[in-house]
Amino acid sequence: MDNLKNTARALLQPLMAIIVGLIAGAIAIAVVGGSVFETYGEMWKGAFGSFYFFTNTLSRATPIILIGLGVALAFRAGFFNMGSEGQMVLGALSAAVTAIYLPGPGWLRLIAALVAGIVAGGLWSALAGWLDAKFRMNLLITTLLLNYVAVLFAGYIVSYPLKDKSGSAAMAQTVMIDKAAWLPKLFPGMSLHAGFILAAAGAILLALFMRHTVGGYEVRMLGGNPLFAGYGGVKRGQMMIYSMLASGGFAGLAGAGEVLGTQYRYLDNALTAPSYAWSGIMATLLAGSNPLGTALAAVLLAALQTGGMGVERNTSVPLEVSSIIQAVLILFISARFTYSYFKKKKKKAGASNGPTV
Amino acid sequence: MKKTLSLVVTMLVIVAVLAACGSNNKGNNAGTGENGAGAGNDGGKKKRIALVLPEKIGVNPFFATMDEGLKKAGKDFGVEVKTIESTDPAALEQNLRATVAENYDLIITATFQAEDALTKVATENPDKPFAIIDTTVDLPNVRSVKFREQEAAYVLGAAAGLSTKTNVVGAVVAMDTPLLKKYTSGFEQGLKATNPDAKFLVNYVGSFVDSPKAKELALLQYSQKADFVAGMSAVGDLGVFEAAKEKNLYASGQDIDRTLDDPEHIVLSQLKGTDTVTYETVKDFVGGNFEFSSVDYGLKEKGVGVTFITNETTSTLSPFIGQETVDKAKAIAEDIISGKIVVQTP
Repeated sequence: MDNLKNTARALLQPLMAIIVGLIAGAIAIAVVGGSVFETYGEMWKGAFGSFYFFTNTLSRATPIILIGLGVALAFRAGFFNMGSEGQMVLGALSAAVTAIYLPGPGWLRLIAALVAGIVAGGLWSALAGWLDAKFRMNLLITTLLLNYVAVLFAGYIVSYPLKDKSGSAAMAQTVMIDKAAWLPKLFPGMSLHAGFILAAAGAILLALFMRHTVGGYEVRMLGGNPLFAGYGGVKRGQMMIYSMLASGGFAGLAGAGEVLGTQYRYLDNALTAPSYAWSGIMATLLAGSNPLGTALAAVLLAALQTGGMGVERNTSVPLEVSSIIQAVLILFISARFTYSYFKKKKKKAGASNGPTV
Repeated sequence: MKKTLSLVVTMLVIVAVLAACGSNNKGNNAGTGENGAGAGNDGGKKKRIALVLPEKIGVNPFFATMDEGLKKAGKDFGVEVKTIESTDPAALEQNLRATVAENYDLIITATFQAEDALTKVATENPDKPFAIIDTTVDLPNVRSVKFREQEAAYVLGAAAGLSTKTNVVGAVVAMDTPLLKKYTSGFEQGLKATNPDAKFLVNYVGSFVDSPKAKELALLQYSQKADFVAGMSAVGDLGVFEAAKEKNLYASGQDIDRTLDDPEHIVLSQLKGTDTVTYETVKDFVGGNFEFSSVDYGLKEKGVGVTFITNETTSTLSPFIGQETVDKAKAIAEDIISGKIVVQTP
């Protein structure tokens, strides 16, 4: 029962916020003179309209899910990891470099590249955790600012030392990874790659870890009440470094997955321009750091983006409408109005409104 | 519970009302027909052509004119056309795949940014015709459309060499890449041909969209005694124009006729007819002359040009350039077309 209620709440919050976002989008569509139903119809078709578009949405959701999981883990432990972008980019760059320059058979390079991505993202994130634990430098600030260091460093690496000089050589990117080390596509001709399976497995494993292990209990305890956790023998500094390491590892895996499954090289801006990291943080906030809810929210956010592309392709309503919906989402999530609203209601009405979804 | 219910009902009513407004405001048929909505795919035997752009059009004239050329071709040849903008590299690939899934008859894309995505999608769909503008993708089902920018750059450089008073001219270039080398090298050859003593300054912005940085680089070149700076940095050119205005000196634009904006300071514009080539690509496809090979457009085919010299313009000629220079440059352009002058490619 408790489980069910928790899941229901994790689902209810994002749904409320999305409904409000859709209403704001409807206003925007009406203002630019489009037909609301037709536009939303195209948005639905663009995101879930056929098996093809559904896999498109899932492939866009893959990095968002992984980042969301990482952020959720850190949030649960009470740490605000805002550095997913930098962790993802460093993970992606390390994965690309490993896959390109490591000798050996393709499968080995692929696995080594995934591991390199996780390690690079994790270490970068743990650096911020260590700075906080050792020197009490505010984690929120350091993670946020280390993003710039990581993104610009990776940009430099692919603009100068490792730049692909073949072809038109106009892009800041590494050379292409050998085909043997690519993450396989799940279906021929579609963009969905095996990274999605890693993301889905990650969501389930993280949910199990949080609920059923001692480590997960300690993480939740630390986030819920640091003083009590400290009294119970949880070492905050150590815990911070470990949870940041894992959190960054997820982000690094997200970057590695995109490089090995979609771009097949590290291309400057390819991971930062779609705002995967911020969508991931948003997914976590939408779902209140529940791992499975985060994965679902990530798919919904990706659906908004792929749906927006469908709108762009098939109507005269511009792509920006889905950005408006997302912006409104952020606004309402930050305000947390639904949360407090239903919390109050719940106190009055008891458990009766749990299974409304 | 009641409150929740009333909240939901209110929201539904608002949506319904707005939806009604929306469809009243705009005749549905008119709205979708023109843009060739992908949903109804067999309304007659009209061919459907998609232009998938790697970026948003925004204020980039390169993409804006391409869109215009496509729309014009759509009207002239009775084909359904649709321009699709992408936000990022992953979205570009998904849009290309989606246009294949939505079964467009011809899919056009553009620039080096689309090379990777097109290579993947075109290889997987060997029966689908594609075209890419401004770069080469060497596949049997892709037509590559390129420009000989070096020819127009040569003419521009020659005009700059004839006009400069300080014997120093500059160029603010987006990036140090082979594509833009065609600009700088052509410009330098033209400059040296008319004014062997002139000094040529080159600075790279490192981006196609960074106007503030382009402005600083232009100011730097003006401070090094340049009296003419050629903008070769796409959106960054807007910064170059600002610098020219502040210093009351001269600049040139590219892609479209920028002299219309500020003829006192923007004295020339190196044109790149992305609209023409998009139009011609559609024309060839509709007319059945579509071949999967590399075609390029230069001065001769009117794919590139320079305002006042090879292309008419309604703006006024600056005294900095002067009619005499224009006439000399015209002769140079004729020589390039006739093959008397051969512009070296880097």
